[in-house]
Amino acid sequence: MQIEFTSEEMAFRAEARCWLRANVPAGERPIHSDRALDIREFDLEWQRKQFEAGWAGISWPSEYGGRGVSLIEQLIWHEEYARAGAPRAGSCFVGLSHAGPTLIARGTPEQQAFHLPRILRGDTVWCQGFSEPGAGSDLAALGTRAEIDGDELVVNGAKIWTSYAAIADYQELLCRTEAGSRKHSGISWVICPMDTPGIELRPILTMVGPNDFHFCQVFYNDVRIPLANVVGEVNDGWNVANATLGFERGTGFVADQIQNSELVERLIAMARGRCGLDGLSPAIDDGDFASRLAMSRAEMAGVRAMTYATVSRAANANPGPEGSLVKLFFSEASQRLRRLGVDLLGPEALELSSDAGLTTPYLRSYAASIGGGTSDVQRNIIAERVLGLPRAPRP
Amino acid sequence: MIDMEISSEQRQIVDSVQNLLADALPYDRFVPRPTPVPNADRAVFTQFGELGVFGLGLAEASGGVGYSLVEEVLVARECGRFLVSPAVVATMIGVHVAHFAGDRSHAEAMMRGGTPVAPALAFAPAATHFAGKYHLADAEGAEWALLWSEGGLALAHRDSWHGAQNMDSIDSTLTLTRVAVKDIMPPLRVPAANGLWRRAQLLVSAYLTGLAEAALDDSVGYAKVREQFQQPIGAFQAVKHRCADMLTRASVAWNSTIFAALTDQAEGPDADFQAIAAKILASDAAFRNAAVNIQNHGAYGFTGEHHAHLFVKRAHFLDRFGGDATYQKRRMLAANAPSSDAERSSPVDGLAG
Ligand SMILES: Cc1cc2nc3c(=O)[nH]c(=O)nc-3n(C[C@H](O)[C@H](O)[C@H](O)COP(=O)(O)OP(=O)(O)OC[C@H]3O[C@@H](n4cnc5c(N)ncnc54)[C@H](O)[C@@H]3O)c2cc1C
Repeated sequence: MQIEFTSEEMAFRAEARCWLRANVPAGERPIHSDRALDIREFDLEWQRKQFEAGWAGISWPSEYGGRGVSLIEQLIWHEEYARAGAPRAGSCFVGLSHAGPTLIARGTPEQQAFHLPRILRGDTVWCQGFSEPGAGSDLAALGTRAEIDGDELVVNGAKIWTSYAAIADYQELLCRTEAGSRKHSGISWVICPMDTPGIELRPILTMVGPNDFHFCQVFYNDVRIPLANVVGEVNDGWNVANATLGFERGTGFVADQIQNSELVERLIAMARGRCGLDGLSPAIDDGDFASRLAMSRAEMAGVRAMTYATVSRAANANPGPEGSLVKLFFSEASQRLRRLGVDLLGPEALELSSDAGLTTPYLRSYAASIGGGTSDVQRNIIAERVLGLPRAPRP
Repeated sequence: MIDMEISSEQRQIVDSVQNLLADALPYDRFVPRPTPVPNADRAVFTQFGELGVFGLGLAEASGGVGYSLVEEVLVARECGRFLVSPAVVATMIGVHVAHFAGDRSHAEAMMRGGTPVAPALAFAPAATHFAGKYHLADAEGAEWALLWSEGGLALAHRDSWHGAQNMDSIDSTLTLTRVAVKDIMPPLRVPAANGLWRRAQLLVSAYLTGLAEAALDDSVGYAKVREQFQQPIGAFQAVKHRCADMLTRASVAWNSTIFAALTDQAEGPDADFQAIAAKILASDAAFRNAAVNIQNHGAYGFTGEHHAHLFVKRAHFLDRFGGDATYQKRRMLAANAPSSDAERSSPVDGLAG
């Protein structure tokens, strides 16, 4: 066991840091609003910049145009990325971290040749059409149908909570290609061009702000998609969807984690600088604030250690359900931290656009224990698949 | 005698307020079309006035309905449940401030619901005077602001709000205005020693309790009908236990609030102590139940289409009104513990006699 970076890794860190510091976009990432196109342009522009400098697809193998670096170097990249204050991948996330890797693992050469360069170059935005009104935690209950008609699929049904659907070019669409099939079988993974006739969107407002239309409900009415857009075998979509879940093997959220570590330091500085209730002594003299700050600082250190452990394990073996441990702990620790931020800020926390910029991310943090599998689902995975506890009785 | 049950007369008051709220202010007034807009609850304030909501706890001789703090607490709780603009609570308190300050005509106008009072959230609640910076909640259309500091309670007429500045509110249904007040001691005020602050604190606690209870009701209702894995999610122990914890917190909050109100009525020596405890527990119940309610609804709870987020946001406003949890905890430690020798020597009977 050891934690030491090799000289190549240190050189990689220096190179990444130097480029990031010089190139991170200056302006704020726009919020996802009725002017949705702003956010698309912002995200794609940043992706193009990374592509031109050879940083795009940090986790993708080089034969597919990626940077092809080791897991440790990916970790280093994400750390430097967050330290430089680089914007989150945003609407490019699904393409880079999910759709692209899925195509790499299971796509045909034609599908790969068409889509992978476009994702890397920052030409296309992808979204993820998995959840449905009746299928959230129980994703395998999905019921959007796709009937095969000659060399086409005819899709009918609805998806919901599709982030960035309103600005996406393509969607990874999970649909049922075998009528009456049970649960995990009979599902296919389909590349769905979002401009296909018969697709309708209903933007959905989040609780974050009066213009935050982050996701959509997507309706499909006789939507015709070429059969050639199925990725992997027809009816094997469940396996295709799971093929890449561990693709980044624990590095996917490193940037978010580092951002939170930096936030802790910022809050500590704020608590030293701002006066507390009596208007005289600094807020950090308050025992409750001091204790919560100290705990958050320790928790973020713990998250980093967990991530390093995950990466080290993943370097040798396929990642298992242990990723749920990091996800569960991190999402709840970050919610505590975000709440601490608004409590420290005091009165100004009621102002959505206060200078401190703590309120909007605080509200957004309510999603951390829901999106990507709720905390309850993570606990079930940990209990049943990691600990081997008996599964809850299923009807 | 210890009786913390709601009497049939009190039940009638609650029912009539519930009927009005269910009719005039249902939750679907918050459905974004397509984005949320500030609430228009003040349009029904005159109906509240006709029903006697604002003069409920004022003596009949003073133009009020002649009930007590307890009935006001019952009404404030319903207002929390229905997410009524917190100006309703500030107006209920404002009536008492005007009355104690000897201004009968303003008290009467407030009782009629024609001159709403906006809650003023102090930037420095520990000040012993009233000058300073405030956030006003729902100040548009309000005639007064209710200032609250360690100096007591005071009414500031809108003409005395300086440098009013509208800010983007964390709660789009509730406008947020920054103002400065220059009067150290505004004319319409009640000093802290009067104890009126306890009444104010308990109305706020009741509103917060109402939020916690409504969040619980939402969760229980949803857990029975939302199905995943071919069963109602309420069948999962994780969800079921969260709901049980929600009820426990709401119940602690309610009982503490009503206990504190009865202690205040009985002029118990621990009235301050109980009023502080109630606020801390009600605030905690509101925040935690609101967050758990979002969690229980999954992504739906995170939307602006469901009203679940408003419980969180209103909790932030009400928590600050009269001093937030951090401030209350400091006061909790400073307060005198209820002395055991008093043993509540039938203070109610004593009063009656
Ligand atoms: C911000 C955000 C972005 C999202 N983006 C996307 C996207 O781009 N694409 C996409 O496909 N989806 C997306 N989702 C949807 C997300 O995957 C689902 O919200 C999630 O899987 C939960 O499903 P649900 O919302 O239907 O909640 P439900 O499954 O209905 O859950 C309701 C409650 O029941 C609990 N519960 C359910 N089953 C169990 C169980 N077996 N044991 C214990 N408790 C249980 C849950 O934990 C939750 O508390 C997004 C969600 C959010 C919040």
